[in-house]
Amino acid sequence: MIKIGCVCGMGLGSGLLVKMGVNKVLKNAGYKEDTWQCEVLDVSTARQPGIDIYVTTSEFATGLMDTPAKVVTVLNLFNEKEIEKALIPVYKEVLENKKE
Amino acid sequence: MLVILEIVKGMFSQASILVGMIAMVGLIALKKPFANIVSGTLKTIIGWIILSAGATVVSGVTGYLGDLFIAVLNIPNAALPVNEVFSALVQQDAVLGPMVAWVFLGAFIVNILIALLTKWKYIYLTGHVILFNSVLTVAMFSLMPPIASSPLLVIVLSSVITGITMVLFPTLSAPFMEKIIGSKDFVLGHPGTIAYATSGFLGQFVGKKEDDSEKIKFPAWIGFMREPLVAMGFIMLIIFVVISLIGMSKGVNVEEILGSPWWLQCFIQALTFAGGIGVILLGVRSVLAEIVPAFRGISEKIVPNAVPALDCPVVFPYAQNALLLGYLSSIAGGLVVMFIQIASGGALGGVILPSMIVHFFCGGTAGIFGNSTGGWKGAVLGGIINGVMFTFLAGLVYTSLAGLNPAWAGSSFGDTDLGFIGSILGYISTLIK
Repeated sequence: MIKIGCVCGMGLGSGLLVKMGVNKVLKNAGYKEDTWQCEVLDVSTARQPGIDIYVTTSEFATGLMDTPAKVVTVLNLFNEKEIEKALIPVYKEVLENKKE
Repeated sequence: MLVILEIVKGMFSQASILVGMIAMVGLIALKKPFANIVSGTLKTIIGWIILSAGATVVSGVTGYLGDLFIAVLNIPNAALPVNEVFSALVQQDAVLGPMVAWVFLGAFIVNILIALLTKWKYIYLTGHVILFNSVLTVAMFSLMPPIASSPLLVIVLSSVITGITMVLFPTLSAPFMEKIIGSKDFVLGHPGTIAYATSGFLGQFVGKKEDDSEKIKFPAWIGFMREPLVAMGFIMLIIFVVISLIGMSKGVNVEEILGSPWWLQCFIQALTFAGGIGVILLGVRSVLAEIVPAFRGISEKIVPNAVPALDCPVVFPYAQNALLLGYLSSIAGGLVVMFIQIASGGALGGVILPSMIVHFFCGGTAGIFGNSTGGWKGAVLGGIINGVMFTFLAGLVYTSLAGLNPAWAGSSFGDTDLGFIGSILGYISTLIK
């Protein structure tokens, strides 16, 4: 199980947009729905153990850079193509590391 | 038969169960697996209950703050406008809570109908703002006895008004959004649009967009200000300490109000407030987690060519320095109006304390809109416009809201659009009382 944290300022609106995008992108890429878990988080409480990948914008990414998780930043939160391009390579890498 | 009717009636009188049922209908409509429907419905109900728990935490703190303001400065009408807090307080109400839940559903339907039948094809996907708007309209109509006597009428009117705002304000943002993001892919669905559009319009008169704010370098220490929850706790600490110090210089025994030692109590209360907001956020997040994707899925089927209206952080990456400039100048603009409100002695409604959440999100977005037409000068102007406008409007709205329930004193709505709709409805309520 890969845990993905979708981070925005309050964890309400745009984090949920990212979550919807991430779920769609991973599903379209052919991954099984129970192999990842996607959570919306606010920037102040986003740092927590167990998260493998953060998806957020550059605005909120700086505070997450020193965590063991991978940080994926996107410019347009609603653009699924952009999420796909940024997330899939990182997702594959995390998946590989988990297998080892 | 009668027993079943009683059970249904009982369930419908619980806002949490109503919201859970909205989520359930959405999940069924999207043909989700049975297990997902059950867990999604329960999680939505749990979210609503978490919301109540958070409201209890923050209302304790606003109580202390209100007592301090009265004892030290003799200001009985000081309020901190945090939409999340006020909404959480209202939804606890046995009468208003279930109505809010119905309006939450009704507003979605009105939005889809407008998008389907008119040329304004916007679908509003910022769930928490729909919730705030539902709370605001229900609260305001409940102040008008001829309308409040019929819960159905309150629900219908509130749904229509909330639904209209879900198309009107995104339309207002559209021309500016095209400039900022460089496409027509989405528009803004956030309740500060009156300030954003004004900032975008006036920005061109104060500066050139070539003087982009992205050329400015900010010091690193300012980073913590970018975390709304932390900034909120910090500003609450400042407010508590400043008022306590003024109190002590006047000979008021602040430890009688706060407990002792006063400085430690200030610290704990300020951070308890931020913690309470954190709990409320968790609740709202759980409520929206199933409902917003369901709304999106359903609306995409009914109005496939609609443009989504999205939450304000979607523009943040396009101008991060303008965000910070707007944020800081919004605080300045808000403070000026706050002192005017204090000096007016109640003539301008409530005294609106600086709410960092509103300043950050709305001030920052206004800064980005201003920057898109007037460069860094436009960004600064945008922030000031937002701070001045929302503080002024929130003061007016507080006059109406304060009459609702004494237990909700010290809390109010922030953002300009909420203030605008609220003060219009508040004015109408004084006419038909």
